[in-house]
Amino acid sequence: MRYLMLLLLAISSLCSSARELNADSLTKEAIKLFNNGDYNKSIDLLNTSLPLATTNKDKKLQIIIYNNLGNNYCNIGKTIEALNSYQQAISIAEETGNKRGACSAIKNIGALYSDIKEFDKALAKFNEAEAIGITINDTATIADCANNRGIIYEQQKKYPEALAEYKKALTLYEATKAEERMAILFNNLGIVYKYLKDYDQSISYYQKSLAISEKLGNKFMVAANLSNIGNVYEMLGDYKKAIELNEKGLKTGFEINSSELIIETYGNLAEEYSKMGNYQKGYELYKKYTTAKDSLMNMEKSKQMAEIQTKYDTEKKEKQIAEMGKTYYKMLAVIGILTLTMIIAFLLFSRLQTKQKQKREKAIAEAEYNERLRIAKDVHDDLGSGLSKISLMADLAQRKISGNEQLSFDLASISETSHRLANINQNKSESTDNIITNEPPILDDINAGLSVISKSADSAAMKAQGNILLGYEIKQISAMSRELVDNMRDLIWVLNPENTTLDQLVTRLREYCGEYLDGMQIEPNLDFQLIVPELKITREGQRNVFLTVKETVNNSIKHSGTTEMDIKLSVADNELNISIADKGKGFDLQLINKNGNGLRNMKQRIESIGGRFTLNSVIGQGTETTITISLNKLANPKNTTKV
Amino acid sequence: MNIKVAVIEDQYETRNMLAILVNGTSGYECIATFEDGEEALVKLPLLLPDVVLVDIHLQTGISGIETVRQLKTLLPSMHFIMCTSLEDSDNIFMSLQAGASGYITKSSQPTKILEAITDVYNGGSPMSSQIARKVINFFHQSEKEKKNTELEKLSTREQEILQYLSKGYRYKEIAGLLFINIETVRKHIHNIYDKLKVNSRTDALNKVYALGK
Repeated sequence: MRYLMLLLLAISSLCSSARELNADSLTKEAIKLFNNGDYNKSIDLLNTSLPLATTNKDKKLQIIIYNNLGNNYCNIGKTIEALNSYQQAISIAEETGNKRGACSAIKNIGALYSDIKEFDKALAKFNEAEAIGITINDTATIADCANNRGIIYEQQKKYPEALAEYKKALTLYEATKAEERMAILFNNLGIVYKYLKDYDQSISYYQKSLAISEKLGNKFMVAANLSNIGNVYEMLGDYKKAIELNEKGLKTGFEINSSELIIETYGNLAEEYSKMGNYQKGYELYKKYTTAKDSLMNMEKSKQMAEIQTKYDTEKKEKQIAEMGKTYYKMLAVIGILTLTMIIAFLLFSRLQTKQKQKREKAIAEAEYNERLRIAKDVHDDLGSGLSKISLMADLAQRKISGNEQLSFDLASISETSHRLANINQNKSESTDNIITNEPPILDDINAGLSVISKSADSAAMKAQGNILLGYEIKQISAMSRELVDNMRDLIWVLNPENTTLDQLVTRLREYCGEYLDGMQIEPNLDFQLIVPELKITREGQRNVFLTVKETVNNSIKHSGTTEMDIKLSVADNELNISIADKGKGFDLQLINKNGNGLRNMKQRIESIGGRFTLNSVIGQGTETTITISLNKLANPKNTTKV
Repeated sequence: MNIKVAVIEDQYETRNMLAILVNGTSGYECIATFEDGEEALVKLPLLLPDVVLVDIHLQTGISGIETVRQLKTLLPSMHFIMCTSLEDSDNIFMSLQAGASGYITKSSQPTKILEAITDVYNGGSPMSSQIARKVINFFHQSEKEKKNTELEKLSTREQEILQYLSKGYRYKEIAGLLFINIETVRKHIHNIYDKLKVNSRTDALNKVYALGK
């Protein structure tokens, strides 16, 4: 609401100067359009009047046009163009010694900076504008500049400075009996006193602003003041009074159809009811608040879209009329239709021929689909169990804290996101389908959610420093979410048809080992054959080899305590050989064989695609794992058996 | 001096976390966050951060890639890092062409994210094997179509480095194999990125760039 007032000041000053100068009717019309929010049309009109003003050598008008162009651009978010326009206005104004015009443009640039919170630059511009204002005795500008500086100081929490500026502006407005501005200033003073916790003063200033606004019939200001006074009462703990005032404000907001006011008062009311203990009503209002806010955003977007659409449609229509008017084009259209018919006939014919072929392809595609389905199911289960672990841990951690609101917020967000993701993962029957077809929506959803979880965990970890008990859970959460993301990444890699070549598999293995061991502060010795035969491999082969190598390397780091790792990969005698060796503590193979589920799985994985998996370990010396598989079996799905 | 960072990310939590992470680390400062590309286009030219983290998939308005394209045209010296949920090589490649100098996955460890910011700030750029493959294809294609001028062609050294990258080698290893400094590898990769960019810089806007300073 603050910026709106700032903008109002800038606009209204320009409007009045435009009338004073008895400007060209076009420009006047453009300003009207600007006031109605029709910025693009206003720009068009201003751009039409600009050359007229230039040929007439009407420099005063040119300055006004540029200033208004700047305001328009400002409102449609084209900062660069806005700045350029203001600059043009300044240079013409300086050239012709039109100090008033220069003054406005400089002030507008200041407002632009203020809008994006570049306060130092904004202050410099306001000071510059004020200095010029003093030389030409332009009280309105001097006062505007003081007010604008006040707004900046207020945002910087320099309240005494803000008060001084506002009071200076107020005196000047009072002297010129600019009542509308006085109302704004009283309101601004009310805000500062509220921040200074001088609630009596604050209310009294708001009431002054309210009285003037009522007298002037400015309903927007009336409602704003009502809501502002309500907020002070809320701070004083008088929720009843606060609600009463905000309800009034809301009513006026509806009367003048101001989304801004409606949203603001809904928000206030929600807060006040909740503070009063009426959570149900508070929640209802909060929902209304968010709906109103969302619909405002949607409205703005669809308005923009509609504008673009209309522009496009008119252009298209014009073109169509021009083209269709000529019989030549009609002829062309007839020929086109004939050709099209022939093409369709041909396509129908060839379709009959290819039907046979399609049948065969369908069978292959089905096999492929089943394979994808199997992989997707795996991930699906993996994701489900991971997410439930995360939410459990977050709930557990939540119970251990009390009073730390910020931390609680992070944990709540983790818990909520993981529940939501688990729902996406479970309830939607199409989810597996989506994963198979590699469709982004669901994957994106899940991944975005996982990022939120890991980021929340990082932030919670920062805040929980010192609390060892809590630290453990939070670490688990972040490790788990990263693992899930890694798994998703593997899935996507496997599902990407580009990746089903031996070369891609070798590359991915190398990259994974390098990155993973790097992260573990271990310098791996990677001896990979640089050029491998060009070969298309099965998805299953690609996945099973990758997962087995990954698990082997992970196990070695987790259990062996090694600081060295030798990984070799080569293709010889039509076989792919991979060997992974560490120099860690090793283990007793017989002991592990009895209850080593993980090892058995790895062995099965490799054997299911027709390969050999061997493991050698010597206690105190290290472990070596080798995987060998013939290229024929990697490439040909017939030789594999499903697990 | 602090590295000034801005964040463009539509998701509230992620946006805040990134800002907290950056602000909570000495040597870095998050000077602004934006929900969408449109707002960033308006405000960034006047804020001039050193590095901007951009979400590749912005839900509303113009895409992250388009945002980078437009901003890079206005502000050639600003660095952009794309944030993705997954390593989505097609989109990353398009972002690099639009002018981004790097990318990170959002779930990366905090230290990795900060490292990426420092790297990019110092003129480095990361490149994975997938991206290297795309880069090789790109230059191969334009070579065939005879589209690139002498300046846009890759040098022999650059080609060598790309070959190793496309096979999954790390910078460290490449430096060792080619008997060069790891910094030199980084510089080469940075140059490759520059040659990728679709140039459409306009002079008119340099004026504004100066004004914003």
